[in-house]
Amino acid sequence: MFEKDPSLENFQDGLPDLPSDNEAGKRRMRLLISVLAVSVLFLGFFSLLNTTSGARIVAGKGAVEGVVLTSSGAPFQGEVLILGSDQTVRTNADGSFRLENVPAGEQSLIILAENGGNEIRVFISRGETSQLGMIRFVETAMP
Amino acid sequence: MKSMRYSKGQGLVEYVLLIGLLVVGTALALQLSGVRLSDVYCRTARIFSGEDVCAAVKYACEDNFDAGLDGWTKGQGAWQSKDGSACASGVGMIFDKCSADLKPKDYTVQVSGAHLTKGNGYGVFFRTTLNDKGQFNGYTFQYDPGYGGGAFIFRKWVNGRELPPFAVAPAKGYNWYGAPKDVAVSVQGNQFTAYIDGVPVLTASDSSYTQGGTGLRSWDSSQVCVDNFGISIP
Repeated sequence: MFEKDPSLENFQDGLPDLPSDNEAGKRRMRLLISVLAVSVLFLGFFSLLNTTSGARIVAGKGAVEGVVLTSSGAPFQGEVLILGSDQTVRTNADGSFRLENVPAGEQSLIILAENGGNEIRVFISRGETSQLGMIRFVETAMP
Repeated sequence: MKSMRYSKGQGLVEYVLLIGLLVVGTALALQLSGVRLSDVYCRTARIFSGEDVCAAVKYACEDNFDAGLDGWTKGQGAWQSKDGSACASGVGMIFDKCSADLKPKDYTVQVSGAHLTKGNGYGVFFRTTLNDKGQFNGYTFQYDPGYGGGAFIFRKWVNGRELPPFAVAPAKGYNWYGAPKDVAVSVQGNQFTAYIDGVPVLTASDSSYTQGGTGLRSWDSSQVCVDNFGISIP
């Protein structure tokens, strides 16, 4: 059990020298570099979170679905997309749609008709499907 | 002679590593705190030189239309060169090739001598880009006597289609047709401010589009001419 412990024979010529100042300095330097490296890693991680793509990677993805109707109540025919992503679908014959792989967090859902569109702010939860229910497409006067 | 291998003291690699980490750490900390390195440089240079070295406005793109509309891409309708101005009669869109190539982020687009003589208005595109289907995305600031009796408006465009305004400043009774106006739109981060003759008329914020070029539009029966166009990048 004690084989690896120093014996008195190790000290027959006196106590070992204390580490020199140079060695202590090197150790301090390496400690400083290690602390700095860890700090830079943390700063880099938070910087990544500050970027849109980085935040999306960390936030994960979800889905959103709903039914779009025209102002007269008829099924809306057009495109539905998430702004800033490549998620685009056409509405089904009954006006329903479902978008998969939507970045989690607050997103702009865009509904596009032939000559205009609507924007709806939606919140997508990671791993879940956000149900928007019935959405009325509002035709607005376009110049 | 003593070998370098056994020399005492700190290794060069460790010093380089230390300095590198300090530089990277400082840059990341500045970025996280929202401080731009270019601003730090400008402030430091101003302290030492006593001059505002970064204040000089440089036009990254400009056109006085003397050479026609060669520097523009026609998107729709009939904008044409006329007596050293760019003029539209009816529906039209043109996009500046220079800014489309640059795809700048933050800038001020300035349209001077813009004279609406008839119709429901005109607009200035900013942060406009084309998608892979040739449809454009971006924003417009609109000088719009036809909206609700007159208003200044910011609109967003998605895949070539415009959305309802996301910012409106009603301007009933505004003298739209009386004289040429200087229109400017300042785009800084997600903050947009529109000016008419140097007076701010509308501010808004939106984060949908972060960069892109500029252009001009008109609609309905509008008749408008523009004398000069330029983009200054701070």
